[in-house]
Amino acid sequence: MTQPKFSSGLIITDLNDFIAPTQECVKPIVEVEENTKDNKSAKISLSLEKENENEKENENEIEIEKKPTITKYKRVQVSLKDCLACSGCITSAETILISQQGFQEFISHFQQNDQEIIVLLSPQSRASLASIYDIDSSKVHNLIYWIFNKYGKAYVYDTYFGWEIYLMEIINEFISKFRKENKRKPLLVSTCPGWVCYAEKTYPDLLIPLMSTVKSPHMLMGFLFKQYISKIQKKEPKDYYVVSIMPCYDKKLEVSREDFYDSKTNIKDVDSVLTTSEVQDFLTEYQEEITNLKFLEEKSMENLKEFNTINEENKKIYGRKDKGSGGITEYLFRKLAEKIFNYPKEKIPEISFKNLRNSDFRIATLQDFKNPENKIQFAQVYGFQNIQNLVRKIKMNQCNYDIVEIMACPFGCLNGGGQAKVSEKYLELNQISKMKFFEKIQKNYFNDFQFVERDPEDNKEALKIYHDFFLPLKEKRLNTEYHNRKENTTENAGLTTNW
Amino acid sequence: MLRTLQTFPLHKDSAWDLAWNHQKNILASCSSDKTIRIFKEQMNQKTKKNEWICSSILEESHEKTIRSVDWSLDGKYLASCSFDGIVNVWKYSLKNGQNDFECIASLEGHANEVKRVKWIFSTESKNLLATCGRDKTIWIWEQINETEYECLAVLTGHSGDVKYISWMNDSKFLISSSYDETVKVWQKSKDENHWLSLDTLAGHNSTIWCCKPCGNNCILSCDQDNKIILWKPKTDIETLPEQKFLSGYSLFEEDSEKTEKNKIWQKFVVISNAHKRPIYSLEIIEPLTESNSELIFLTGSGDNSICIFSVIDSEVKIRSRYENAHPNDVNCVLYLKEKEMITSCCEDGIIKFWNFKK
Repeated sequence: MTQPKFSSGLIITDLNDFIAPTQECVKPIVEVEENTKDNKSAKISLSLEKENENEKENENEIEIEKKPTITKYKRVQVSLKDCLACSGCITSAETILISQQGFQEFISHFQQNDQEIIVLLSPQSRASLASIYDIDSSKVHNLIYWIFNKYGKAYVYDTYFGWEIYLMEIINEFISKFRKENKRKPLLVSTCPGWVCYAEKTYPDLLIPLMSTVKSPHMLMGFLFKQYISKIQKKEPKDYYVVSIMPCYDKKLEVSREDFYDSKTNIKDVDSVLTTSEVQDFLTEYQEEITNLKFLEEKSMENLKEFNTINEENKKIYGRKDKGSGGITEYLFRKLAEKIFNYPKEKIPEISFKNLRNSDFRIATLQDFKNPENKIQFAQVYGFQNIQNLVRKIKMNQCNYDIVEIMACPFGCLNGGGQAKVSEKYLELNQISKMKFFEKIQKNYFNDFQFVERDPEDNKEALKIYHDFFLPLKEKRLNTEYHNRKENTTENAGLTTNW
Repeated sequence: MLRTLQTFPLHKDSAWDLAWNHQKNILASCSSDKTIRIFKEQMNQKTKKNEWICSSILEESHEKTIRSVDWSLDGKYLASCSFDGIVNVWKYSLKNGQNDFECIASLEGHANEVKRVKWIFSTESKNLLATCGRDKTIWIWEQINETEYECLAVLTGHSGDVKYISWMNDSKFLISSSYDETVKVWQKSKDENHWLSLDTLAGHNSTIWCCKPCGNNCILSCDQDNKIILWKPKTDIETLPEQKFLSGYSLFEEDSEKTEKNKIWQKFVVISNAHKRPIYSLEIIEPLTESNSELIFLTGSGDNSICIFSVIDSEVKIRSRYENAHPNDVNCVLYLKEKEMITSCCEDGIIKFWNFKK
């Protein structure tokens, strides 16, 4: 049995193979000629023939189903954007959606287009690949640089630069917006598209007002390349093709949101997402070269220097020391101690988490330096069932946290659904247990030998771009919007319900 | 052996499920008419005999079909689940000698139709509630107090609508059956916070409507294709080492060969074509024990009949068959041991009580 590829938050809210598009889809059914060739834009085809005929409880529905002659409507064309706006059926298109942003599509795109490839590599994917190939994390940059340059002029960057911008803005958001309006509590912070999708479709009225609107780090970077760096380099946004390597299939949905697409110019902030496991699949062809470290000679480290995400002196990569999802809570804790509770820098306490029922729901408290009665409460909530309990708390007005960091996957992004796959055979061959292998990924994510943590504001490049480019048109450049997607569900309720 | 005692044509639409409260000796039924009915026994003043009466109707709590009901083991709470995606918990009490039901909590979370609810006691004697449904998931909730519930786990793994769940050996194991034609067994972790997929039982070729433990760690399941399978474990599941690795990791791919080797339950008896139409309900009368090698169980089927089966080792006998037990699909059969009775409900909403002598 295949494992679900999207995060559980997404699967549970949206993905339902039992709903036939005829019943559910917001788009009218279009008759399509059999020999129509799909064009390459974001179109997906949904088969209408999936219905569980034995389903006893569906008997009533099947009657309705029988009315349209199914043979007449063989296929229906729906764009991914329609699907995101709808309550229903993206899952039927799961495989198509994934193949649309797959490596082969990526390659064929470059055979037809002459663009520069901007690769945004996430630290989680880097850690995953480093563990699989048993190489230093920094060498994963060489590897990715080497492989992408086979298909065009490619540059490989660390999404950590986007993280620095993101963290700077999160602090501002909390202080300026949420701290002033005491009733708006908690601030829900997340870079997880699975969570966003879940919130928009299940409890939009309750949750959207509480959600941080800062764009996720790779979206900030994609936007930066298309709208800022292109100008500096006297190029057009369309001269770049931005592809992110992410630990997560849900990110493919994120880059397809209308908020990250300019319909006038037809420019997407990030053009596509490849998951770690898709990169892994593609690299199997090059196993020999990888084993012999054939990719090392490339000068990929130059790219990292451009954004100051590598320390030039000791060649250490900058990263965040956290559980594996970007370190938002840890950073906010330290920064708010300084900015709101006036701790002298040397007296800022280490964050200490207390696990609630499991290690994926943990809380921490920051006390005012002078007046310990004043507190900021943090919670880190990963995994779908913990999200449920959090939402229940919010709904019953019993949520006393000020800031909650949310990720849909248990154990966070290092355990994302798109991470490189590990087979039993691999584990046996390398004589490593699953637990030990996951620890290895954690080590590769942040390992003291290769990494160093710094305050984002100490990255002068990030600080400059944040002030010069992002802040002046803050709402457009730093923030995104969320949408109430529940409407469709209720409107169609009569039709969609299955007996 | 089976004799009709009373017939209640009260539900205005399909009656789906029945639940017996062992503590308080009352019965609950649920239906597509969006009501729950409560039945109790009462002395008839004229005949001086005990009779069943419908004593309460719980209405306006669900917006769609109520698919299943279950009583907590302490007899204090009734859970109901509906196609509206909601699970309600009712508190039962006696007020001035009258049954009183108060809806004390609504558990939201399932994306759509909820198909089954089942209570159990946790090791610390807290009430646990499992629910499953069309979104292919199983949820486990712990009752913190009457109005507060915490979601302990959301189990994913089935690739289709989950039709039925049963607890086995208290809360140690959970078994589930699905439209994906498999039965899954989930094992509770030592920290009591996780349930891990232990085994997937493949052998049915259609929707599995019901699965129940039937003693000695055996499992009984029945399907759309009129088939019943008795599954036996080849190892002692009580002494299984706890699976160390937590669930929820998505990095590791299962090795199908190895999984095959690690299979615990095997098909022991397959009963085909005992019914002419799908089998919707199973009820264990005599479970297997160390001293009892004869398994006796009931079936309710879409061919309108109720059957009594006996299985000794691999020898199967149909002890009796009641054709036209109902004029329509028998959706649920339930054995009321204390009363030596059986109760059943059907597609046209009728609930029947039967006298039953083993």
